[in-house]
Amino acid sequence: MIPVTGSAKVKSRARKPRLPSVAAPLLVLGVGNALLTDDAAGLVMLEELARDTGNDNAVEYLDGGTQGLALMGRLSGRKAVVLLDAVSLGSTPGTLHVLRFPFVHPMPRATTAHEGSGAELLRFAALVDELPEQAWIIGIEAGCVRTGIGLSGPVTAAIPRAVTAVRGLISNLKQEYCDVPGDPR
Amino acid sequence: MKRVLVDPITRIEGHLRIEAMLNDHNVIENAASTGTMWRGIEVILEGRDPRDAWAFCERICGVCTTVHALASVRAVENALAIDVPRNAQIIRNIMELTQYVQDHVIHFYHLHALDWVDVVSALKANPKATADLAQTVSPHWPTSTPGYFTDIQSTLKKFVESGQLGIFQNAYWGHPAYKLPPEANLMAVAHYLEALRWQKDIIKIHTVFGGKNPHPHYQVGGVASAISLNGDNAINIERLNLVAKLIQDADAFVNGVYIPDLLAVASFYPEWTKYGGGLGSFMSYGDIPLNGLNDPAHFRFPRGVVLNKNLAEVLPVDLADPEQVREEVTHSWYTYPNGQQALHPWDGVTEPNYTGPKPPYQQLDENAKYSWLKSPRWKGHAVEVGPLARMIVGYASGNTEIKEVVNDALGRLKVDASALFSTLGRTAARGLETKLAVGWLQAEYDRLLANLKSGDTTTADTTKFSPSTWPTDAKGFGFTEAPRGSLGHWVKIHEGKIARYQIVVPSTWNASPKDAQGQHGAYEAALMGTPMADPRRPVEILRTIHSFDPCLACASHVIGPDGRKVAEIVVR
Repeated sequence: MIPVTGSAKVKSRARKPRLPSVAAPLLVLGVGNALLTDDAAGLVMLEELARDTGNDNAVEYLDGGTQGLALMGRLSGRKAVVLLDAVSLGSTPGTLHVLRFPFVHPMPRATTAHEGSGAELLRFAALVDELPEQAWIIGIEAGCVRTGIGLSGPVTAAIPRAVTAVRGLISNLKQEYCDVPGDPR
Repeated sequence: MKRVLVDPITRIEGHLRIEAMLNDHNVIENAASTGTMWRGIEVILEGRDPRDAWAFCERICGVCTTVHALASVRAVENALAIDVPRNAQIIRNIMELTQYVQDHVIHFYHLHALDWVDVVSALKANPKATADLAQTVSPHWPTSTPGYFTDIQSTLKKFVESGQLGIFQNAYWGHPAYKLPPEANLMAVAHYLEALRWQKDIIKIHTVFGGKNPHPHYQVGGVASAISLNGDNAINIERLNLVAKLIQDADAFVNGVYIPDLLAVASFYPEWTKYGGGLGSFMSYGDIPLNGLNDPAHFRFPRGVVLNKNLAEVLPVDLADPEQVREEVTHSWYTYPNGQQALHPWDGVTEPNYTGPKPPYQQLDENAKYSWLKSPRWKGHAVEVGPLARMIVGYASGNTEIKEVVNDALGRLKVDASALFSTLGRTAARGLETKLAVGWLQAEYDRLLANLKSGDTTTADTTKFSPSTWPTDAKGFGFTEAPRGSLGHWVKIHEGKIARYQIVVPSTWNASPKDAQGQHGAYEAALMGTPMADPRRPVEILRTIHSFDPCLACASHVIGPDGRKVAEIVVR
């Protein structure tokens, strides 16, 4: 277990990367702005997931914050990346979107306080052959994006469903790429 | 009068929108820059522990993470009279210069180059002729064979034909304002891809010194990195060797590719040394201290203000002087108490008062309040901040290194110093300071190693870390020259907690609306006088706004004279 403390801090509790090291085959990358309410949906999902990872060497959980292109190096050498994010696809706030690259949607983000959107990061990576074999976005439709810490009601309510979906996806990806039994959860 | 509307987006202040008014000859006569989203991030900091403020500030913006953290710890250290040890100062310099190099390269290739480089034209290039060109422009760069450029061209073709153009979508390909021959376009596209690959490594320097990246650790009193040259669990010689290697790679890329590309592209656009100059007044807080923050005479980036293009005089700047840096709200959606017009950030108030139309709106009234950005002014003067400001202030200060790189570039482009006051001058200044930054990275690394070898491994002074050592009331300012320009944090501490926090970011200086005297901000001023070839495809506006690096992805709405939308384009 990763020790977890109170929830109001913005510092990452995701596992710290070691350097230099071999990249874990699966990367779960949360992005979003921790200071813009629902924009942080991906970070909150990540926090939940990173809580129960144990000593799983197959998956790295990374808090990407609001960075864009600068995260490209973290995709190198992976089999799959699962991007957790807030999205703005015109559905009801709290709607869960599970999307696989390449996307049919233009993928607008919930807000613009990002250096670049996660979808754009994946497109740049594809351009220089740095994209893992599989790339997914687990997105929650944002309701409210304004200055503040904490999610709105509909997005908070969507977190458990989203986390379950990510766990299922990770379990499948592990079986596909890591030659390990799936996570029984 | 036609009104052209560009509704782009910055990531520091939320959305940014530009309205340009054209005369009958399609020349921009007036412009209004509007921040369309209220952030008020300072509110989140009030009541918190000042030693934690950096971690919140690091989350304000994706590009500027480390510079906000640095300005924040410096503000708290200034308030509590803490001097950081020499190693900490050097390591902070290395982290900041790393940020410069990565940020500026990404800006040039991935945010700005496509304003000058036509990707689709590159498909028409002859790979052999491109190789000849590349070997002339970048003689020391290995990837320049005809086969290499043939491969790049087929990759590009695949992208264009698959419809997955993605990041190359929705630009003004084929616009008459693009002047490069197909071979130069292909070379630039090849380097665009190489820059993408290169940029992902250099940031590992932040991982070494900040413990992690993204969001490296900072610490009030020093840096959060223990050093033990021969140890296993601290920054050791192996990690320092990695840093040395990354600096060498950065030097090779910047001097071998970026600077030659910059000069080659610039030589095709001489008319852009005449447009986009704007205010002609510049400010730099100065940064990269060699002897502590209280000794600005020994900053690598000099401090000062140059007014009205007068390179003969550099005026001193004092961030603590209540008469110097002040923010006005005449045209901003805020109210100040008792009808005050201008407040120093220590006394700053962020009281929203929205009086604009209900969004979405077609048009704003630039004679009323029209922006969520305040108007920061220096002694009442509107000034530009950023790379051009740093090079101008450095040049006017007689700084030898800055004069040398600037004069060298002016000579190669066969123009005089007046060419600096332009869109192209701003873009060139960013490249020139990257060249300086990469050299300074090596110099700072050498200083660090020399200091470590002398036996000094101290990285933090924690004698005043405990709030029990603090006075009941304290106030301080922290500054940095962020890649985009002068960044200031002002903090007041009361009984160990933050009582007031105000941040004035570079984009607020540059993108500010008019002030009480009617003086325009830097973006607005820079757009005026620019002729547009085709107002439906406003590439000229993007060239000038992007030259400031507002880090924007913009949705451009072009409005005809009758207010009807005639085009809508999303531009990256």
